[in-house]
Amino acid sequence: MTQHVFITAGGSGLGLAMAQGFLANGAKVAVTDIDQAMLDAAQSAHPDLICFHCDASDETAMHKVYESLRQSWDRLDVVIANAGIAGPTAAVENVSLDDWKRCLAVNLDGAFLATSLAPLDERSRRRRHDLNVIHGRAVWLSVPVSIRGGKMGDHWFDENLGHGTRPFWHPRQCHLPRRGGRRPHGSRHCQRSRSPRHQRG
Amino acid sequence: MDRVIAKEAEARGISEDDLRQGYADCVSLKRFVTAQDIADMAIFLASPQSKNVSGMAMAVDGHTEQVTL
Repeated sequence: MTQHVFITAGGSGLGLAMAQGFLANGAKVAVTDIDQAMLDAAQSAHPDLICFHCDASDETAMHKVYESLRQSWDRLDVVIANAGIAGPTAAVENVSLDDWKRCLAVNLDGAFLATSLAPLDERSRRRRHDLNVIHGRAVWLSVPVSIRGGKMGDHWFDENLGHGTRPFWHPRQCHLPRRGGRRPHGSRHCQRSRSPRHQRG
Repeated sequence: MDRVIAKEAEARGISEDDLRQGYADCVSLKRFVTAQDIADMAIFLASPQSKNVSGMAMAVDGHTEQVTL
């Protein structure tokens, strides 16, 4: 069965590489990108690629993209929320709030919109465990290059974006194992022991 | 990734090659991940071969041993 794949920021880089991979496997692929020149180049190289010029963090624009997809496709099998920006590389005191908000808008709001607005028909909604959702490194920053994905379970989105937001506060430390291995449960370093759910009495 | 490295090298006042080598030295396999490596993982996650994989963070990083700050 032909897979129908939607990828944000698919005009270049990782997004385009994924698009090319799915196209090579016979899938139908639609991509968005904020860079029209990149989209034009991708479209020239891959005439079968469906391209939308769109900011992944713009709710109205994403609605329009998905509405167009809904009219041309009768199903959606894979959503890849790949759009992401690194944000300013600077000491925190030199990062402006606008830059910070822009980074979060693209990396988190973009992933939320790509997933939550996915145009599922009623049949797909009942069978949403079969929808593949993949978030790129922009959402999951705990390791330099990782992707987070799989079949969409009941709490898939909570679990993924919930965890995904944490590493933003210190992407290189929060989820990497500390030297010396795991902190023993019950110690003051054990986050699980300190959570309200585990506080007794 | 090239743009990220260029920005960070500029911010830290070192060459891009030195920064790139520093990152590679932190990885067990001593090499950078390519876009194709990530695409391959995405295709696997969307395939029937991963039908019981859900909500997993899949590291495609050559095994990061340490992190430079």
